[in-house]
Amino acid sequence: MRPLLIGIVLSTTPWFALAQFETSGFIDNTTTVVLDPAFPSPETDFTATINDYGADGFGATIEWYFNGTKLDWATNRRSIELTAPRAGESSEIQAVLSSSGGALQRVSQTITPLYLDIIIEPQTHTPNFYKGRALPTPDSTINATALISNPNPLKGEYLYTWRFNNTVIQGGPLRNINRVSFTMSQDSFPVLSVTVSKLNGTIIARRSITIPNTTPQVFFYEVSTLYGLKPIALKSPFELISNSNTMRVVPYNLDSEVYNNPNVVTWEIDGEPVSPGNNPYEITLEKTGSGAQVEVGFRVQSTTKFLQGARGSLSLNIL
Amino acid sequence: MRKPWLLIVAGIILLILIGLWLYLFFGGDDAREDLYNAFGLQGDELPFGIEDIFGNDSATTSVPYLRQLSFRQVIGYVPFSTSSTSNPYVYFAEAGTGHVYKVDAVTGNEERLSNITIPTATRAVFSPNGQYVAVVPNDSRTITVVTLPNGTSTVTSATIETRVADISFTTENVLVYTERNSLNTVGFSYNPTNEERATIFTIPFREAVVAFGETVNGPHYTYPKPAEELEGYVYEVSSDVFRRLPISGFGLSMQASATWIVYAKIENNQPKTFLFNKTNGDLSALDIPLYPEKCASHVETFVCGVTSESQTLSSWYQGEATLNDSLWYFVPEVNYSFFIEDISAIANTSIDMLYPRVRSGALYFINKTTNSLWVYDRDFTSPVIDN
Repeated sequence: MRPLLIGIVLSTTPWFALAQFETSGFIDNTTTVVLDPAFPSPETDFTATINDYGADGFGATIEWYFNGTKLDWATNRRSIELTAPRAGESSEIQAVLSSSGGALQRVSQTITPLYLDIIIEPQTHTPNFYKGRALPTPDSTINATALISNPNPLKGEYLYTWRFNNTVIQGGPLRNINRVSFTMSQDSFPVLSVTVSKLNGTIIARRSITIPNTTPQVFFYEVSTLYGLKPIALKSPFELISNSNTMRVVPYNLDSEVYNNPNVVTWEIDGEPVSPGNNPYEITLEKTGSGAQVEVGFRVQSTTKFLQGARGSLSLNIL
Repeated sequence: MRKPWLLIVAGIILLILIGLWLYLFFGGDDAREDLYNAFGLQGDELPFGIEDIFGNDSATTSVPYLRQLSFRQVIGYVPFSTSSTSNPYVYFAEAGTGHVYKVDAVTGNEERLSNITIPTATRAVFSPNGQYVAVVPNDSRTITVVTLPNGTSTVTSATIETRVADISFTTENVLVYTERNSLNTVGFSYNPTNEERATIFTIPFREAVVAFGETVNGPHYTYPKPAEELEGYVYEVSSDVFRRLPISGFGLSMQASATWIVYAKIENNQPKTFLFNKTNGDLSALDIPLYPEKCASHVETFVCGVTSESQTLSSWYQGEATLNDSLWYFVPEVNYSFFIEDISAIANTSIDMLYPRVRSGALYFINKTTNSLWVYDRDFTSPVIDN
């Protein structure tokens, strides 16, 4: 009787089953499919990786499915490369782990790629005729706009969290504000990132970009009373034929605030300072002789933003 | 005795001179040539090229297929087809004045159509029917729409106060243009017949380039101004659509036809060109890097100015770099392309092609180097074979 009683007690004590570490039929919630990048752009490649922190998946067979179709080539791989679907279309990635004991684990991840475009608009100077975009320079103001689409613009309200070099812009998430301004740093490739989430905090897209830093650059152009600013950059040596010639300097990518209110603007002819007219970026040269060569120099500088400055020179052959 | 002999000799010399004069006056070119040859005064032969069409001493009577149409600086133009009774002709607007001329594309004869002056006129677009021209001055703060004379009507104009960015006319002869405010780019239409203005779209960023479609309702295409260091994206835009296309990249610029978008971007530090089929979304790469601004669509093909020089986009836009173009022809349907001719070498001058257009099989363009108007009047759909 006593042995029977002991056997009944032992067989019904659950902690014995746990102590034997038997995992047959046990589901491990620590196994996930991780994507890199976490939010792939439409029709771009991404990597799906099994992350199993428990020991349950040790030695398990791994089968991958993409939208329900088994990927034979991916069997037993822990990491595979796939292509995201088109914007707004959903795809499911599923991994099935079969342990040696016959236990099955299914983990899946659904992705719905969205376009998250970050449009950088530096507030630096370029002339009217210039068809390109202005570039960022140190301490210049940058406007950034995030456009999220599937491929049509998403409707509804979203939170935008902007970070510039890991500092959150404006201190936190911005509700329905997809546009920010910030001051460009002085390092070569600072990072700007934006995270878009629903109002309940669910992240739907995230993107990081580097912004290249450049320096202002000076070009000289002729100004004609008939044509206005002629869009051909003057090159040294420039042959001065007419008796009078008006030149304008364009400091490309100089911060617009500095361009509109420069602290220092100087013109020189062969090292001697000369005064411009009403426009500090224009000078009119009157020929008083011929057969000489002179050097026209220009400099613009901010005294508060020390990296906001530019200088250049042009050689003239007076004919 | 001596005096009569002197008189007779003088009289004979006088008669000879009168005879020579009569011979030259009534004898024509052949007579002049005979005489010059006799005296060893061979006239200079003019080179086969652009001077021929205007020269009176042309060594050849044929019209060069590559020729400059005017010595004026041109800021916009519209070509017209031939008919059984007239040569092809072009309306163009003159830089600095905005005056409008008509030039015969074969003879080079010019006629002024409008003497309304728009100081520092820098850009001009014409309506397809040639009835209107919109002129923008150097500061881009106004658009002057000039109605050109038609029959007995006189020239009139109207001015729109705006900070204009991009401008075009639709096939409906309606002016479309964009205006930038502090945050956005707004597209407008302006009908010159009734002077009605309407908003047609809003783009949620400021530094937008718009490639207008053929009608007011579009579709139009927009992208941020190109910069090799910054990423751009292409969107389709109209009054009720703002849709992202699967086209993006650094230094992005594009040109569209009815079916295709040809676009260029920087990939792995190299300029690359691609074709996108708007109908089925297919994407293919072209072997030749080019600037889409130098392409004219022709049915569903493109003829483009292509340079072999490696210049950055910014240096070209800044006017620092001048390109020497050759002509290439692209057939996107079969991803086929071929070199036509080196037009810079043929013209013996730098040809940096801008605003190209095809009309009746001829390619018209403005040479950015001199702002001159040119025509390439040769079949560009077949390679040129040197014999």
